[in-house]
Amino acid sequence: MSAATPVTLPELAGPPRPHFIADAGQERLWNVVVALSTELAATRARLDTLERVLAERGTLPAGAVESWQPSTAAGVERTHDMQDYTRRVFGALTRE
Amino acid sequence: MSPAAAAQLAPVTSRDAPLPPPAHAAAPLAAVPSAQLPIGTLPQPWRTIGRHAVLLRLTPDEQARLDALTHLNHFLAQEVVPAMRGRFERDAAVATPEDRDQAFDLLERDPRYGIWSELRRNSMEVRQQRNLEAALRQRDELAAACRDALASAEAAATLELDPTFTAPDYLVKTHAHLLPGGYLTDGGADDVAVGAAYEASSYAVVPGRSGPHSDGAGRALARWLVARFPDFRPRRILDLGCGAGLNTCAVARAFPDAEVIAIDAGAGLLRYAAARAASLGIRNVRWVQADIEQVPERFGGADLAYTAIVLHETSHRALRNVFRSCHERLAPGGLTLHVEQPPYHDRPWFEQCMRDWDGRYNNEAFWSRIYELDLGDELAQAGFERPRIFEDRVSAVPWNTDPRAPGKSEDYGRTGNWQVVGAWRAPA
Repeated sequence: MSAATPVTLPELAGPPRPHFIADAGQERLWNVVVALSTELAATRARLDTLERVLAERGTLPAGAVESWQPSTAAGVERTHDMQDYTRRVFGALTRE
Repeated sequence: MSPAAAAQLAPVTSRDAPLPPPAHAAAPLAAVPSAQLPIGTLPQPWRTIGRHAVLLRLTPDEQARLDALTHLNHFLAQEVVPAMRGRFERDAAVATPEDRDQAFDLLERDPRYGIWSELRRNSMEVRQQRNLEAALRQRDELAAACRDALASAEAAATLELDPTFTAPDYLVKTHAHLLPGGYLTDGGADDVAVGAAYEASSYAVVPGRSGPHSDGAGRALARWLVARFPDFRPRRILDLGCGAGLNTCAVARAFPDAEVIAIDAGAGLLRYAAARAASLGIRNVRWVQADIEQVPERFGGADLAYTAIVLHETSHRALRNVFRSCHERLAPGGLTLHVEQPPYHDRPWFEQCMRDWDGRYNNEAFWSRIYELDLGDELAQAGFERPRIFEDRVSAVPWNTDPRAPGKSEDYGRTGNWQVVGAWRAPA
């Protein structure tokens, strides 16, 4: 989880950014929600990896989390977990 | 299950077998087969992407963030869209929309629509920015991998860049699907960062449904061509607007005896495409920097000239020039094909709005206009004879055909159901 080197991106050319939400603060809040959800997802994936590695090996050698690759079955489980997680966080959007 | 299908579903890792290098390993990646997960149309995680020498490397955290965005998009398409459609149809039964703008007005009455739009736009921005950041950070490593992949004289000769080339306005003024810098980011020498970012985002946006190598359109086009015209044996193929060469490689594989001339504007994309193809063992493609509106004369006498999901990023003038250029560069009896999303004609208002959202808000310069056009008319204006013009549907059979696939709702505009418009040039 080392810090990433800052990078300057090129400017985006095209029409001005559309605004779908009248209140600029609310718009930013939604952007924060998206960013937070990806951060939490990364944390959850790490925890899941840690738990599975610990369960498999009983110890946690250096670099184990970085190099561990889930089996197909674990990959499928994670995918379904991720779907459930997305529904929990953004479920309000499906309600009238 | 066929052995090929079984191989596709083989576990990514097994404790009994040596592990393939993880996607974030520092050493160059070998081009090993990837195994996507048997999860139907649910989003494939990033780590199932097809490997090759110049693939972007993402850390586990970067992969998890990207995977979360793909799940958010899947949720927006599969669960929020049907919810909005229900309300739209009830509202539209009372206040009947007469055009697409009125349909959008009606859609905007639903408070979910603004939030859905914001999340759809923002998740695209974030995905593009993060992949490009990762690619720019890895610029030197990716350049070294590109040099290695093109080290042999044979591989190096597949790449033909033109330092005097000027990119067309439509690529300069609008950076398609919100990729900062568009297709033209180029650090010179062996820089392939833009290609690495482009392929990463392509895999994530569908996500993974176009196959491990994001070549669903190329495979579908080749399969359709062989089924529809089994006696057609093109020897020279022009791929106009080849980008990172994702679909080109599928076509080149399907016609191994043909010489494929793949043309694009972006030097960084073409370098990436050449290095990637070399790493994947594809040798019958020349990657050429040139203007697709004026294909150089030396590539004349082609048997097939096609665009695959390219024209909606250009302009009406460019489309006309591309069609004219196809007519000029085809041999008598040659075939031109153009694959795009299906046109809007007569589709329900809700579907039109969903499809047109990308045209309005995802930096697709010509999207809203092209899907109103009759591309058959445009081919006729370019010189093709009416009776030789045709259209058909081309579909990408889902790479992963799990029966549990939810598929409750099509992700309009981003699903592998395309229209192909084509024409035969008159024989000599």
